[in-house]
Amino acid sequence: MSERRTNAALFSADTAFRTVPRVLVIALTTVFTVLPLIWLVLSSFKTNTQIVTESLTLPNPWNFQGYRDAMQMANLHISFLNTIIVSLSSTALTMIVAILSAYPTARFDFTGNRMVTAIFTIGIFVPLTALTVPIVILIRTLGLYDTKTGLILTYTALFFPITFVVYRGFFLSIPRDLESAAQIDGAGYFTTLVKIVLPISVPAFATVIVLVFIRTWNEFYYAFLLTGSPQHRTVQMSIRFFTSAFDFNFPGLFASLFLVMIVPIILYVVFQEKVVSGLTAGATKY
Amino acid sequence: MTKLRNRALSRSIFVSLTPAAVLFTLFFVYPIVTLAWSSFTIWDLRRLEFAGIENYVRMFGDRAFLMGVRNTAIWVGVATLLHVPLGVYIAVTLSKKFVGWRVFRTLFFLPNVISVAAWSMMYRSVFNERYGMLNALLELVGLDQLTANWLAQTNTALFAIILSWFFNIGFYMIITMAEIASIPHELYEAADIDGATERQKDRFITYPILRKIVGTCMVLAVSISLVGFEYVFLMTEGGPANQTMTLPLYVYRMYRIPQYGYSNTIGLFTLLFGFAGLLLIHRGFRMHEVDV
Amino acid sequence: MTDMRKTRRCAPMVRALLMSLVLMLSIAAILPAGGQAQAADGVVDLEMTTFWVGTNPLRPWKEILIEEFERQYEGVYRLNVIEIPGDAQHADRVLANAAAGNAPDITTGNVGLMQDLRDTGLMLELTQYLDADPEWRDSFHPNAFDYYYTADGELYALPYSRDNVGIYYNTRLFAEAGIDEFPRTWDGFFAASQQLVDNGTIPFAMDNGWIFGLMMINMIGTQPGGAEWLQTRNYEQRWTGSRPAIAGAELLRDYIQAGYTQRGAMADGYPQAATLFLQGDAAMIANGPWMINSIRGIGAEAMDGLYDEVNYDISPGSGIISIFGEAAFASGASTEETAEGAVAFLKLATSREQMINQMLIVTRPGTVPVELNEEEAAQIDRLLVAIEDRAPGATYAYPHFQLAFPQAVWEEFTNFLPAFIEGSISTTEFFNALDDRLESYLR
Repeated sequence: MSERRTNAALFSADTAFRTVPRVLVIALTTVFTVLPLIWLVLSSFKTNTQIVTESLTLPNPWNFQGYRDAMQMANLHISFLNTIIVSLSSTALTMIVAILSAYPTARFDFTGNRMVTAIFTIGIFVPLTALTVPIVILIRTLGLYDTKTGLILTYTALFFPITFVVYRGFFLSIPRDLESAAQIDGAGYFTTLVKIVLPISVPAFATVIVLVFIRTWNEFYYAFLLTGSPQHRTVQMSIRFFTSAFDFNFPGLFASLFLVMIVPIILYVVFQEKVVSGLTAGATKY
Repeated sequence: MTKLRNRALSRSIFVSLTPAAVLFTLFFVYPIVTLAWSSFTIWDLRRLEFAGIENYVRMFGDRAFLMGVRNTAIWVGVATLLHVPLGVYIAVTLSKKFVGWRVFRTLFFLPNVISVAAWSMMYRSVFNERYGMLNALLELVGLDQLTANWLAQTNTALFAIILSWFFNIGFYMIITMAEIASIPHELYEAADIDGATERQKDRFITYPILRKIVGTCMVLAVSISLVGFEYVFLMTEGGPANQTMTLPLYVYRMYRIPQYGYSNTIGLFTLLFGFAGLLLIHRGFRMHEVDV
Repeated sequence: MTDMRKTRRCAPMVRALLMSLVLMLSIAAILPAGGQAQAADGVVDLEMTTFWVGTNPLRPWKEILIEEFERQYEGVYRLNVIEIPGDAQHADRVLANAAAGNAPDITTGNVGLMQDLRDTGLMLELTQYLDADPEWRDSFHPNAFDYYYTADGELYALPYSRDNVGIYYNTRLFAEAGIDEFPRTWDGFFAASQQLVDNGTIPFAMDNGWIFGLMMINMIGTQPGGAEWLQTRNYEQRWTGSRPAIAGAELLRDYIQAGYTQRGAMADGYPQAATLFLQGDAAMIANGPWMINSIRGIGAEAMDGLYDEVNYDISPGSGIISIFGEAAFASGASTEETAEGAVAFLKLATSREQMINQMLIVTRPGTVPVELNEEEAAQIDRLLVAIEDRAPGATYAYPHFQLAFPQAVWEEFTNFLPAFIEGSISTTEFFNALDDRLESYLR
């Protein structure tokens, strides 16, 4: 079909080509992404009993106790603030560290480049639990046990390798003509990085910020190991106060899960739209 | 790549690499070195003794570990051969910006925002034999004989748990879409002048440019399969009878017993497993080669 | 000239690595290792970790304990309480920190965590403090520390709980199915279950872990030789070839395969099973007396009037899971001051007054026997009284899984039981897996 050059054939082939994937996209989207979200929101309005005896049904009657419990939970606002501080700081730090290291390894041929890249990349394959005892020793030695700083540093380090890999991938595929021009003009390394390279890599920026932020926002394994006192507790820890071995308040759990989830959702919707649409504004690609 | 020419540049690169090197040395090199030496020890709460290759001998005779290798290979296979291609395909489709593409992009990515704890509770509910959505759906269309206790039956548990990990495609989609956004428009304009179809433009312009980012996505897919244990742990704890055991989960299970030496041996194996995957992907996608 | 350029090109990477190493070493050298407890104002800080938080039934008792301790020792000790929701997460955290060389001054946990903590060598040996205060030592039940003494007679944890774990049953559902009294034999138990099924009721609310374990222990413990096998110390018993273990496990498998539990029980956790019982959909459930509060609707959703319909009895086959020290306190205090503070806390927690508080709040008897006056006795829950009255009449008494086997075996047990119940692995294969894990734990 595509070999024919008549307009009609071109049109129909293109239409089919556009329609089929769209239907596929819609079907997949609905099944795998919308239902879970609906389930979670509906569950937060159910009773304990309904949550553990029904799957996708409407709450009957609508139960708002979960939200009341979540709101009344002591110190939830403090843990929210803590999580925002921890997530923002570690996202920012991870970005800075990753950009500073990904850029030279993607651009310059210095001795040891491949080794540095390989070593940093190994970091993405280390099972997180295998790091537990050394990291606890490290944080305690640094005197950062049960502090936000300790958690920020840990998250920055843990999410550095994956951020490094993503950034290096982006830097490798960005055309280097502009940089060469800047270098000929005598711009230094950091000037080129900040003035030329960073502006072109804005799409990568948005993506990585969102990815790292969400990961730090949802992380709980190391939060449980390294913090605990109410003034340093994160939300991921707070919401687990609703369940224990023999007692459970699922409406409270789901209501707080939903409240906790809203922040990254808003961040994603606002941030991603702004950056990507701002970047491609006025330019139609196809 | 640009060859280094002067001292100032060399110094700048050094400064630029230092924060990462410090952080990595503290949080990864030190633990990995610990991992490596302790794999030759019997290390638990009671003692720390040199044990030669005892852990390695035990590992290769351990059925739970071998099950973990098998299942992890399946996870990696599904992630790289199914999730990544689908994610990339959807990214290319959405990048055509038909009506409502933003909504779909957001919807696809949203599951990645939900915490693992919520996901696992949701899917445990979906797969429940008594009130679960899946069985209700099967009964509705008259396929009663296919209903199962999905997460507890040895013949369905792995399938169910892998199916529920599907939302990861949104992660690869979002990475690929950012890459597509940075493809120069001139390339497509030139193709339009030559009268190329959408399919031809995708095939000869978009996909070749995406080669490296697809490679990156695959590396990330391997990483995700090897690093996280929470999801399987919260769904089945690796059961029934190790049917859903994965390497990172087994590392955790042995760590909790606690047998740190043996746990670290498996951790080291997992790391090497991932590195082997990385090398394969680098070969396959010619990621070391420079375009144009 | 070429040499120089070569050095320069090597430089970035090598120097970055060297620098980081130096930095790491200097940071490690400058900072003090571990925080010390002595504060400037002369008040001794005590770090306490606990999972008695949030919805945990022990939380109200913890609050009373802390309030009372801080009132009695104001200006002497200050409690820094680290709250970790979830027993598993709490255990993970305490152990990871212990492996890194730091144990809390006061902690709580089940017998598994206590054994692991003891193995670290960081915990306070308690017999010296008990012997120094004979009145305190003699206040405990003579068997209170049985599961906590080491081979050398040392004690690294102080159990505070004593439980008789029986079976709750719904008398209304029993009556509706035409069953007059709780069955005394396993045959009677199967027959009653069949009657309940015929009447459209789920006979037994089962889960894939805790409740299953209790019932399997009941079925093993009431076999000839079963109680002795379960009581074997130092993990010397093996599953493979054990007649009572085989008989008990296969009895439970037959029971579940006969459809006497809810559909899909092998994927259900405790919340699903408990809800079935609390809503009056299932007629029986096995659990300890700490569940009484849930049955009364305290901190749980129970059907209206459920409490009045429920009774509590010993296992068919005349057996009872009778345990001292399902859970205990321990101290990792490292200085004399903190050790004294921790012991002061332990004495407070095991005082007569607090044992009564535990009985009233958690409906759980303690390790210190207390004579109740009439007024106090009237406040004790009738279900707790029922099981306390019936337990001494049981022919067999035995510990539960967590006391008879290490945590490692328990994890393997829950891993394999769905496959065992569905029949895809044999009893022998199931037991081999458990023994393998036990051997590797003991190695």
